[in-house]
Amino acid sequence: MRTRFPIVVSLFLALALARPAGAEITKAKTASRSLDAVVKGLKPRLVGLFVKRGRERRLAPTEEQLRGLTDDERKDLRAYFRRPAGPASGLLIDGKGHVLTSLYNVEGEIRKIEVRLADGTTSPATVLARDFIDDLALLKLEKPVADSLTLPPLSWGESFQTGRFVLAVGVSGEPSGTTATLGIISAPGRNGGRMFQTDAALNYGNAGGPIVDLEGRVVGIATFIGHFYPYWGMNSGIGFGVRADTIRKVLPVLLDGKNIVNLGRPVLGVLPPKTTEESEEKGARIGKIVPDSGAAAAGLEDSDVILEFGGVLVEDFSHLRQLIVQREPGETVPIKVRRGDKTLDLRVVLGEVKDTDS
Amino acid sequence: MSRLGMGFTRPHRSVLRRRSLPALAFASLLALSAASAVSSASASKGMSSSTGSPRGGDDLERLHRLQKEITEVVKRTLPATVFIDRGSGVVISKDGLVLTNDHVVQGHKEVWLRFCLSGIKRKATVLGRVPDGDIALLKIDEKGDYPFLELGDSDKLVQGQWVLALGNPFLLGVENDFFPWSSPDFHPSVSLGVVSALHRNAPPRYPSAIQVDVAVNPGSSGGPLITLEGKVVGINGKIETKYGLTVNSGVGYAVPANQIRRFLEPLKAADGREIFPGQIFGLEVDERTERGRRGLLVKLVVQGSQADKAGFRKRDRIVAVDDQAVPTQNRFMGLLKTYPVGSRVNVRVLRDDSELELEAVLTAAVRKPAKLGIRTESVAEGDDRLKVAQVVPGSPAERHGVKVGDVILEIDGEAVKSITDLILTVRAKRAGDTIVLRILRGDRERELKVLLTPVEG
Repeated sequence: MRTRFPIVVSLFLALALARPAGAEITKAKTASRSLDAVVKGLKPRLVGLFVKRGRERRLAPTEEQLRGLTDDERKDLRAYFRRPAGPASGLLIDGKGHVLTSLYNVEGEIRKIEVRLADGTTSPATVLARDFIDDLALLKLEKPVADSLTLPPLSWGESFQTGRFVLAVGVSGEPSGTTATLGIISAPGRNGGRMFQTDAALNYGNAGGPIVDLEGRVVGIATFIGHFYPYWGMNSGIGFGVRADTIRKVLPVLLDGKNIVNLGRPVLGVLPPKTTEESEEKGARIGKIVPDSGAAAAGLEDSDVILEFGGVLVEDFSHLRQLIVQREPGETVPIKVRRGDKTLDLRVVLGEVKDTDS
Repeated sequence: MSRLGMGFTRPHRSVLRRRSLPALAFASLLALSAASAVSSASASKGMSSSTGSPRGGDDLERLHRLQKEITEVVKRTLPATVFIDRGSGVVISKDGLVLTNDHVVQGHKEVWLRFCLSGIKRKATVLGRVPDGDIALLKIDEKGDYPFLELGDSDKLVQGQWVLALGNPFLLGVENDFFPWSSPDFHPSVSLGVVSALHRNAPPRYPSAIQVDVAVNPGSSGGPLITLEGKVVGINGKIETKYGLTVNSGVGYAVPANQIRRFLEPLKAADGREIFPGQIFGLEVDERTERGRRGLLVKLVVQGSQADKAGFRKRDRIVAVDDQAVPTQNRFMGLLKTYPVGSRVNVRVLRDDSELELEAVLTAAVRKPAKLGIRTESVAEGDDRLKVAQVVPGSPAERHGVKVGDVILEIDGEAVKSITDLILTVRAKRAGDTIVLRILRGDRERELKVLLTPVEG
């Protein structure tokens, strides 16, 4: 079994040499908390998920990949493709038995989910709702959460600034064991601003668990690992967490037992040309207008070139997409369009994404 | 189920149906053993004993201070980072000089850049390339006042020092496979790690690289390695990989800024052409080092050569080049490769009982056609792979351990699929080049480094 970094525990004495009076003592105490304390504060909410699966697509290395390897190396490589034994992680978000985890952990044919809580007790659980956009799943424990399990307050983080430290906390194989891996926020808003990217080591095991900042606030739930191959034991320094603000938005829907399949994302209704080559020409050349879209209603035509969007000069189609996603569905946006040798000023009302392709 | 409904396409991609990967150079190792890949003195951020890295449980205040430094330097440096095709780059002057890897530019004369965050595109011309050092210098065509970063002093780096990499791994900042339905955010990926080792010679193109444990992946190539002061101390471009899995394994390499600096003036004047590293022609140095005796033994000085003119004599012991210690031949050759042709270097030698400083002018390698020394045949009916049928006695192939029956899989990372591939590849090389052969012997793959010699006659 692979090892994750256990954090090195060391003690740090709270009080400075001189004894400050009253309120200053309290300030000194909180400032000197250690990473260890941050993890401890989260522990009562950490749960381990033991998932019994039905048929699962068996992935295996190809002949090409196995060629030339020794027997030991082949065993090693095959192990990369197998889902490891042991629990996945989840976060108990309230005293009513609601557990957030990554959809990945409970994907496919599930026979049974057994949740192990921080006090050692276990409870079967069912999937209450699924968020396909964010790779999130909400579980409901069948047994009530014991009063004896005192849950410290759960605070959600609000800063996702690039460069901030984050700690991914997960359950380990041992009962009441935890793991913590440290990294930074590598990018704040992937997946349409809903996820941050981190280089904290995320792997099977801590996916589904909470990612916290230095203040102990939950900034996200660890979801999938950025990788070209579905290898389980090999993080490459790219992992993702659903942002806390996204979670807070979707939670009411999920608690209601409803899945999230569509995004309320803004859409203009233009498709790029079949072949896009880099050109000196500035602006986004439209391939085709999507019928019944905001673009169609505004009078845009195939092969128009969008020069400005909401007052911003458009570099190319890629840039246009980035500008569109910063708006809300229903917003009216002024655009400047070149058609032949004419320049037109139009106003377009953005629609909402209902199905595939933005 | 509709594609959006099945929104979360986890990377369950069939391994065979792999899209062409974004830019990054690889050195594939079958087994990442500590001895071969990582020097014993390397440091990694997972281990908590190097200077400056936080220990869990330590003062959160210290982490907060570090966090403040990191977030601030990221804010300052992000705008000067650019995306280039399937890799990255960094602007190093106000008027738009841009550094990237040679393999990102891929022989093009002009490339498009996209500035991070703003998404603004600019065309840039390739001023010059250093294929042997994996560097290219570009100049943005349109005049402007561009955000830029300064080059730092890479020789002042310390093992365990914090560094950040900015780049575009897996093309996450632009249209990519991980989030195909969402719009690009033009935000690069920023990762944190430490300097693991300096002056690593990772052939064929990284003679004096900075080894880091910062996460860099395909797409990170050409991006800057920066210190917490915001100075560019390297250009990221290569990783060690295992089993041909082209993702980060904790060992990455960057071309150091001091090497790049030496090539800047020649690159600016190169008019799109290649600049080569120089060598001290006519000097042969012993590979072995003697215990208890300092310096590399000069085995041979060719009469009338540059080495002769510089004053080298047989039995001299070389100890330093430009005040940099060269304890091994590997380090000596690696260090010389960081200087362009025409450079003057000071070489300190021990002769009899005294120390001498010799000034040598580095010249271009004599680019004679090369010979490998093998004859090949198909492995079997229907299997077009090439098997060594004969090894010419005394040839470079024989000297470097090629044996009859070896199947030639790759040369310098490029698959050899036919006899034409083999002939063309060797023909493009010159005497003095080292190639890395990946062969299959029995059922084991191994790599052989072969120094090519001139064709006779």
